[in-house]
Amino acid sequence: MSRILELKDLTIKFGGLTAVNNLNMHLNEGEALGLIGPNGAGKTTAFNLIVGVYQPTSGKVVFNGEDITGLKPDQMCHKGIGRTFQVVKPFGNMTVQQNIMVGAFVNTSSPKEARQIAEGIMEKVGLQAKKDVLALNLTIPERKRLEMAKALATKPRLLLLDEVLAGLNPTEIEDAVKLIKSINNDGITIMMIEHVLQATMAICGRIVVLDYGKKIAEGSPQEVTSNPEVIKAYLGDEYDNA
Amino acid sequence: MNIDKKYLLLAGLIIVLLLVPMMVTRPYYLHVIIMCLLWAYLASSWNIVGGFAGQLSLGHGIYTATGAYITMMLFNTYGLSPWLGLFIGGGAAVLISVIIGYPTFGLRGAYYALATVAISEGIVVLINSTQELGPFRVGGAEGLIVKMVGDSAAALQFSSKMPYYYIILFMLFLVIAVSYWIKNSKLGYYLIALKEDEDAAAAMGINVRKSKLMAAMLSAFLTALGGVFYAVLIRYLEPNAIAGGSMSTQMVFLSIVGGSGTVLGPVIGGIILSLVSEIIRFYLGGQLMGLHLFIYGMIVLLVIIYQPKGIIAMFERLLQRFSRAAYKKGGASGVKDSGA
Repeated sequence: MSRILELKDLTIKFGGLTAVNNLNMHLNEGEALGLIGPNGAGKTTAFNLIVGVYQPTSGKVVFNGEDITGLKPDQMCHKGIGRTFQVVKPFGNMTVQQNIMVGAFVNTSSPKEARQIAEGIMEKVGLQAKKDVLALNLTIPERKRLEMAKALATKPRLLLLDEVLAGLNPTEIEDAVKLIKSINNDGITIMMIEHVLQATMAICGRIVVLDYGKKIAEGSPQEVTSNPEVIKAYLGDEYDNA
Repeated sequence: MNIDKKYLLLAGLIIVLLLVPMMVTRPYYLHVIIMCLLWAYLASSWNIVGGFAGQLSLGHGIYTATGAYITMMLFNTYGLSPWLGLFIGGGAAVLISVIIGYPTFGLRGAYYALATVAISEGIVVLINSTQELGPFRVGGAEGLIVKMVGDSAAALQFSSKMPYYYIILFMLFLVIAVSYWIKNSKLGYYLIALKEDEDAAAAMGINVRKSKLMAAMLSAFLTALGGVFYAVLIRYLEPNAIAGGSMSTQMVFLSIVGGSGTVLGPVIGGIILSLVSEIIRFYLGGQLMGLHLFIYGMIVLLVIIYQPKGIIAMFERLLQRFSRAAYKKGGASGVKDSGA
């Protein structure tokens, strides 16, 4: 199995705070990996390091065998890394289709082709009915879908999903899990930050746990959830013997 | 409204516009119409960077001045036809837009706007205090008078107003076509996206700085052409009028009041507001100093409060109501039409 992404000793310091500390991990091509951890563990910061929003203090990001540390977010996108934002960022005054077309322009300059690509993606994520609706008029679950659709339109090889399940009700989560699984089945490698553990376990074959910027556990969902370190990180010291 | 009817309406409008100089025989009226079209043109040029890309430029007077002064200095000194000079003036304007835009477009917030204000104020002072520049006469605060050569198409000097009308009409069509093209191209999607959210735009592969620069350069070139037209029409360049704050803010006003970020908003804003301003000035200008400007300001204020998306939004609503009514009528008499 080839490694599509490798993080080597990735570290970033904000003043005195080390938000991500010597993070070493990798993703295999085609797998789905969950990144979990308590609030403030550095999950989103790790994402932002991978896509170039932040430049690491030290360490390397290797994508597809190439050292891409230091590239800007737009260049990362052209390399094949797509991402969604924890706080969704729809282009409010554009229609759903236009939102998705923006992403499609990474691979074409023709508006006609971009429109076709957007059609396909709207079908995939189930937004055809909302095609001509302004993004600011969408409901939360629809916005989350649009967020994924926009990233998918850039034809990524690796998709980073930042809490796309947060704020959804159980039925909506079920639908979203199905969608993420089917994206993964299309051959797109997925790395997702998630607090909804059950859903993460349903999607991901492997889970990495962060706490205070450090990797404290890694393994299959079962291994990780029974790891005492992880239980401690989530529930505190008193539950040590639980 | 089906497509045939739309084209018919457009063709009719163009014919009427072409016939205007035959119907309006008093030079003063024609001059007012020409100025309205010029303002519509300038507002549309500003709109490319200020509206589509959402980058507030408060110093577009730099570009009108650059275009006008360079073209006219070359004409006065070397007799270089403005037809050629406009490329040099336009090129210089593009260069200045890059000098302002490159360092500031990477930043967020008010920095670009501040840079445009600072540089444009600087340029006004510079022109005001410069008499000579190498072989060229700049004229300082007295202004620059364009050398008269009599009727000449090469020098863009005509004793009749009519040719100017057709030139500015053509320029207006040009800027509308460019705006329409931008709006429907990859660049247009990129500009609107980055205006909405720069982080999301960058995550989708958009080079934010490059896209903003493209818009700024295009806008600067077109604005400079407007400056050249102003120079050949008025034949006298007064630094504060061509480069000053009123020139710069006027473009912003007209574009925002008309509807910035749309193709036709700045055109409508430019024509209607200039017309209103001229009418108020004509009737009230002599009575109380500044009264016409005060009333003009109040009108701008009211439009901004009650039509924040611009006059164009009002037009669109009216048009929708009208076409819906027409559609209902058509639906009752024949079903065929609804399929078209």
